[in-house]
Amino acid sequence: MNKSYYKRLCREWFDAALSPREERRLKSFLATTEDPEFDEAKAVMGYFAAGRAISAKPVRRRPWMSIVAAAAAISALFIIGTTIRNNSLKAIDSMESTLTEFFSSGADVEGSLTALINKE
Amino acid sequence: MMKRLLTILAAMLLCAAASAQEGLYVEDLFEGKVISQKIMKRTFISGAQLRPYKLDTYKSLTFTVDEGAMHEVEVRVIRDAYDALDKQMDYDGGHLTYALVCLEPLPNGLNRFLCYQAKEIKGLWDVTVVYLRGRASVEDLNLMFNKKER
Repeated sequence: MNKSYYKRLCREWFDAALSPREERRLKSFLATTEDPEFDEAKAVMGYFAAGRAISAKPVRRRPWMSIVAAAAAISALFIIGTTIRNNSLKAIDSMESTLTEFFSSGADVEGSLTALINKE
Repeated sequence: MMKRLLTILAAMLLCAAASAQEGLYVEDLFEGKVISQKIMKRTFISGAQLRPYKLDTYKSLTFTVDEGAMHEVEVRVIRDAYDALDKQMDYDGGHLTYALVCLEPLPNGLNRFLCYQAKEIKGLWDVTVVYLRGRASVEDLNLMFNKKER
């Protein structure tokens, strides 16, 4: 197939008059040719190809998803924070009661002597 | 590279030496070498939470064991109390039942205390061992925790 055939395909492509088979043939030709006469067509088709690739995967914006994700993250942080805080409060409570037991249960020599003296 | 390795090694040795300076017989207990850690209730606290108490480390162990195991524990407390600055120790039936030990302060000036309590309940012993370290003096601790004095 000669150059004039592909030029015709290019013209028809711009007119959107190509069959899918002809379009595929033109694209594979443009992908391999170095002929500067086809630069414009390559640039335009490349642009459209890129545009199609981008529009093929549309990014759906779902604002409610962001809100749910943010809420979930905040809840998770709150739960973790509360758990850590509760655990450390429990540890401090346990420490206070243990130390209170220790420091209160030692022999109260002064108290015993006072009680003894007062008894006498 | 070699220099860096030597520095890391030196730092590790210094850390080991520093922790060895704390070397107490009861350390075996906290490391789970005497009583299985599975039967212990352990509470370790350090850092900012202890600042109001003028302490930087609080470690406590609570467990219930038979007389033989309890003896292994009391022996370690008695050995640590031997060189202590000050101590209050109560014995009952030939066993140490209460100890409040002011240990030698660390070279950096931090005070250390060891508390021990053992109560016999139906042939088993409920044992509590506490290690405290910080700027607090025994008077500070008494003021904070001795409810009898209030």
